Amino acid sequence: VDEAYRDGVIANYERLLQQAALVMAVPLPETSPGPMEFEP
Amino acid sequence: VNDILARDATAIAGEVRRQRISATAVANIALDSAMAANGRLNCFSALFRDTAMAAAAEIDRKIDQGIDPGPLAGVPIAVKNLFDIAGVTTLAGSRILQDSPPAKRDATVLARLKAAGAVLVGATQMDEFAYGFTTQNAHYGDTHNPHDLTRSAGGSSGGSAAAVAGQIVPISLGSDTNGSIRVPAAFCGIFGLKPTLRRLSRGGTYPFVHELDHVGHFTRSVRDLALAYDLMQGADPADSFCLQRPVEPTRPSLERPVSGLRAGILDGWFRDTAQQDVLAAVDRVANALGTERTVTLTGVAEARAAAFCLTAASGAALHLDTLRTRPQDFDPATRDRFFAGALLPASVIDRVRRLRLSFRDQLRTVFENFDVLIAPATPSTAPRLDQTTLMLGDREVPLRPNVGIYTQPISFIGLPVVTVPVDAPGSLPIGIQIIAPAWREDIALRVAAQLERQGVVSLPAPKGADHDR
Repeated sequence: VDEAYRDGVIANYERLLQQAALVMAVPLPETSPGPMEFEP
Repeated sequence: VNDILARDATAIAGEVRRQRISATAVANIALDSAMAANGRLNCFSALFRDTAMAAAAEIDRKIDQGIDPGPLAGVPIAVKNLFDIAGVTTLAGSRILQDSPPAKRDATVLARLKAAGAVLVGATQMDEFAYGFTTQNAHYGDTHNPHDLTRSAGGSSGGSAAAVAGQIVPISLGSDTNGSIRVPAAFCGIFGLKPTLRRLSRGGTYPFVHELDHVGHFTRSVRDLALAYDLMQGADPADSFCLQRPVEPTRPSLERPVSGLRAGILDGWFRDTAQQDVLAAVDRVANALGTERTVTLTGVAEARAAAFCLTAASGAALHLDTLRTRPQDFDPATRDRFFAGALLPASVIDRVRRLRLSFRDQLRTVFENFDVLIAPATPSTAPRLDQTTLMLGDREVPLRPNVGIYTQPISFIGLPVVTVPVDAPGSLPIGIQIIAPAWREDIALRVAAQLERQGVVSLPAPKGADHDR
């Protein structure tokens, strides 16, 4: 990442990691990943 | 004749079919209105006078010769500029795609509306690559809300919503990955339909997040919402993601009330942070539907977070090559989010997909006891264009990542939603989501039609789009 974009990228990455932490904290059974072709 | 654009598509087509006004005259009025209003709204990125007038003349010729011109005869429409238009370069709100070759054919859903007699007059503004909720674009400027020009029209399909709310076209197409139809419908005070994921073809549309992208539309009446939806349905060889389901028409049953309707009010995540006028609008809709039953979902914050992560990572993957070679040509807001998404570990996305299945299954269970769920579309009315933060309850948070907190969990699992406008006197428009089980757009549309008949949902008159008609 170009140095000129560094601050903006870091701010966004920090926000993204907060959301990722929520996702990773959910207890789920150890099964294979959900299908890419999800059906509602 | 000058009031023709204030009418809905069904009424306009009726007038054209009865030859009380020609399709050519309607197209001319729409194009003049678009040019006059665009200086204030900046909702169109391109207008197509020559092809529109030729298409309208063809409709008039058919009528003269006794040939059925279709249920949208002479109805002017617009499409978000991520839909392919034959002979036009698809921009998706970007500068990067400006040098791409023109599209060879129309997007499937656009072709279907044209085959029904619709006349395409223009392409509309959007957030770059559909990544945003405000239609503020570093390359093409801000789109303004017809109800208050200092405010956002919502995004990312903000140009399409402003064109309908500004009474320039009665139908426009948009896309919704995290709320990009429902948010602008709410801020602009119009109807929006985000169908079930995989219902409508995405053939000939520029992608954002493969696993979450939906196409849908905006209108000023529920009957138009159902009409256009019925015309766009159907499998498409050009899009394997669109499931092979039979067309399930919704228009014939639209006026039939949902007997014994079981409506639930989503609380918790969907109420705790909404502003008071938004909550009052939810309560008005709930009262009209005769319900006080509330539904508390678990894991909504996590579902929303999962949609947020999937969007960043998948969107970044799509643009990785140009992020490396042409980062300076992106809108800075988009570029920084894509770079961040490109850094997200795959283990998070693996977890996102599993969480998605469990959240979907929770909603399937809820819908065993409910026909529809209602929730606000946004926490507040349209923000000012210079606004950078938003109050969620007593917390001040960055505006742009948080406008879609009530829409993201729902599109994450692909449920169909009709957004209806609640006109609160003295307030800007407020939108409410009518959420139905998967594949039951018909129920959401019937409930919306019922609310429309009751006068609970209605269109506020636009104040900022005065144009010479």
